[in-house]
Amino acid sequence: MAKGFLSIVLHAHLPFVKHVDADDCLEQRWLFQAITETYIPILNCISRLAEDDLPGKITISLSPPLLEMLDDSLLQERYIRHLEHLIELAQKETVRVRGDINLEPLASMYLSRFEQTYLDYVDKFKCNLIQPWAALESEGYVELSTSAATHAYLPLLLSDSSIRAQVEAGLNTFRRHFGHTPKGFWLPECAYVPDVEPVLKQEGVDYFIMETHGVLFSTPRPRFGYHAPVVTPNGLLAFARDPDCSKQVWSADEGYPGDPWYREFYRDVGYDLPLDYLGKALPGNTRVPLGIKYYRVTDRKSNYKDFYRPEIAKHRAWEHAGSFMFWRNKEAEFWNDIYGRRPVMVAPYDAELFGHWWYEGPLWLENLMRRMALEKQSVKLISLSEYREYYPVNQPAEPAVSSWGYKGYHEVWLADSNHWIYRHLHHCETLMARLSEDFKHATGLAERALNQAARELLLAQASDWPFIMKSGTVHQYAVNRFVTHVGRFLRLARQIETGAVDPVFLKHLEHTDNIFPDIDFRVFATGIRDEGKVS
Amino acid sequence: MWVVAAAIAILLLVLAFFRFRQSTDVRPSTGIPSKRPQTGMEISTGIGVPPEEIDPDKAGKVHRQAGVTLPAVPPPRQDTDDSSLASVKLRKIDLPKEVELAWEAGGLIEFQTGAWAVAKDPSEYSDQDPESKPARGPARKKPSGEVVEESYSLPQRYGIDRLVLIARDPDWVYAYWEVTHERYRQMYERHLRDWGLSRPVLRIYDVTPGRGRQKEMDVFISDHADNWYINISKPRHTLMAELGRLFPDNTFLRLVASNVVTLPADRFSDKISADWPPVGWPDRYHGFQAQIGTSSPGAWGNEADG
Repeated sequence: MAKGFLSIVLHAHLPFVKHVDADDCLEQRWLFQAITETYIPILNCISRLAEDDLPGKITISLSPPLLEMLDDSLLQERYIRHLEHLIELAQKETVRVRGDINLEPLASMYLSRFEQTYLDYVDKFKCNLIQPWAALESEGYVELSTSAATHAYLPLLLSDSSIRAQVEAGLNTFRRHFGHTPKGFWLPECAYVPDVEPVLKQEGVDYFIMETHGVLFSTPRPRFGYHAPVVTPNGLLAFARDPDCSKQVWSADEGYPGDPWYREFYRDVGYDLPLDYLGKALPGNTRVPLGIKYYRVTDRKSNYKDFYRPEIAKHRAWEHAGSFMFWRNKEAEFWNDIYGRRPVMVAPYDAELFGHWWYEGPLWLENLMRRMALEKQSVKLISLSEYREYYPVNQPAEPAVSSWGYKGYHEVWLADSNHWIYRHLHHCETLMARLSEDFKHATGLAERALNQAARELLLAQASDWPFIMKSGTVHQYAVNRFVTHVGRFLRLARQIETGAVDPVFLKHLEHTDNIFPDIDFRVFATGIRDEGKVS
Repeated sequence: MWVVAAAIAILLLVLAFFRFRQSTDVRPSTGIPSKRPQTGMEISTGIGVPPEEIDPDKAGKVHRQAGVTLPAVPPPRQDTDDSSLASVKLRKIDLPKEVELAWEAGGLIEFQTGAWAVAKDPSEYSDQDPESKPARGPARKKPSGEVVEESYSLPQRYGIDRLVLIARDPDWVYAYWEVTHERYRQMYERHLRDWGLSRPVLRIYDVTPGRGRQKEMDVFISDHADNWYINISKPRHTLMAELGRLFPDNTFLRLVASNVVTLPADRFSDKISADWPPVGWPDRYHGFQAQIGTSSPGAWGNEADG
């Protein structure tokens, strides 16, 4: 008899980056790195668990831009070329370090790993990383969900129509790829405002996940704290992120990824070796991490790094899975005694943490799921849509506005470095809503222009731009992308209003920003949130 | 004799100076903002500081007594002799700021290139198409022929009277606004007499349902600004604002009204449901606040941060 529930949710998201004219640029590599280091390893990990038919379900959220990029044939071709360059480099590395007792085994490990990735991607998955997830879901080993169309930071949108458009376009993209509506919806950055609820309800979504205090500060005070969901006024279940699950995996100081035996992220041959040697593995002459890393964390406070020892790291990943399981059991017993009801611990993470940032992450995850299935312990691994089967009756309450960003509200996405974007975004929203009303019967060229305008606006709304402006190293890229999408939108809007749509320009944009092929601009037409309720 | 010569020389210098001012005032056809001496009449482009130069932690120094923060506006440059008392006086009486601002806004700013709020050298933004950033060659062939997109620059103003409040967290509200020069002129013409003595003000109201509309505070803003962070610390309260002018006799003239926002909660609710009384509250969660906001270690693009 279980004393509590654990639900692991991995949210995979990258901004839509596809530069038709540029074969290789730094930002396009985000996707390639993530495929090699995160998406394929996690897919393989879940597939192995499925082969062994172990109980316990994990939830994977795939953001719409990510789905569109994984499905894009140009990016698929480019990824294969990228992998070929990487394999070439790894081969060169095995020659370079031959005879080095520390490096030689590592170099051959990377070579065989990249070759395996190539085989997986090309032969096993046939370049399609979406279909295997659909298969795993239909077999019941995983629950899939998705997020807003371009991962917009919903509380900072001006109008209901924009929130509606983001949610609908996101869900439609998911439906196009998987053929059904997901039970859960990932609020981008766990950012909640009550205005997101009506459209979620209407679209058939059942639950979403919030930051801990979103549930804890809800009105009236929640009886079970953050250990049970509340039912929102629209009848959705709002689950709270479990702070201990987060801390153990995520905290820079106490988290598992900082263990001295784990691989060090920041020492990479992309930074350490000469440019001409690295050659085509780099985009142009820009140094980027290439995923060949020879060192371990050693001491987080020191620059001295010892060589990576995969066999010890592997052992640590086993131990850390045990540690995580142990604490979940303790927590479940503790809260079960207090509440007389089995607590649910929700552990949502950015998927890219596993593999990309924390190299041993996928292994840890597999160990955890294996140990929870096979060892005697009292926490049950469930997906959140199964929760109602155990507890159909939950406390009604209004959740509190919150996000999982720094300090728990909107400060990351509304700061001195990025607040200038909102007057443009808000203006475009108002304009788009008006155009959608005025031209709702548009056909032909005008309709295509309106649909493209909708795409440009959605792309401008991505939460990634303000996030990178605030904290990333590619600040200028985010500014450029934002200005370009708003600029394209305004130009299209002008053409639509004057009835002078330029077909060549339109075709160029349809080719360049080809996300959401099935978008209908009329999603923006449904009412303007009376200027009124910006968060 | 030398006294007369010196006097003539000084006179010439002064004349030359004013010539110089006038000539730099001319709107350049290139779209590059003119290098005007910074006076009280200068319209600010955004908050006037390139985003990356602002330390988010230091920006918005809190003036707690007033409950107001100053966004990180660079201190007005101390002009050598221009900011003498005489010129300030002259400005107050003869040149209403808003009219000046409005005309500048209408005439100059709208054509200015560069991303909004980034008052840096526009040449930095001349290449705003990311496509061209990594591209290897300038020509781009498209299936439908050749399309070369211009680089985009966003307008400074959209010609709409608008004041938007955003509740950033339980303590802070962010406001941005735009007032068209028609609106300014309308108001100015109606209130000619005292206009020069009035001050720009953001008036905040508490409109929390069930409490009526109460004036919460006046935030004295600057004519330079078109956005402001307001430290108000009213979790769960509903607010709205008006941007206007405050006259010496305490009359408030509204230029534009805002939307309504509700600040998020910063602690547990005091409301207890009879059907669902809390268990183990509140000591179980005591000190919870300190933990909030442990978030994502960083998204892509942070690789070099270590």
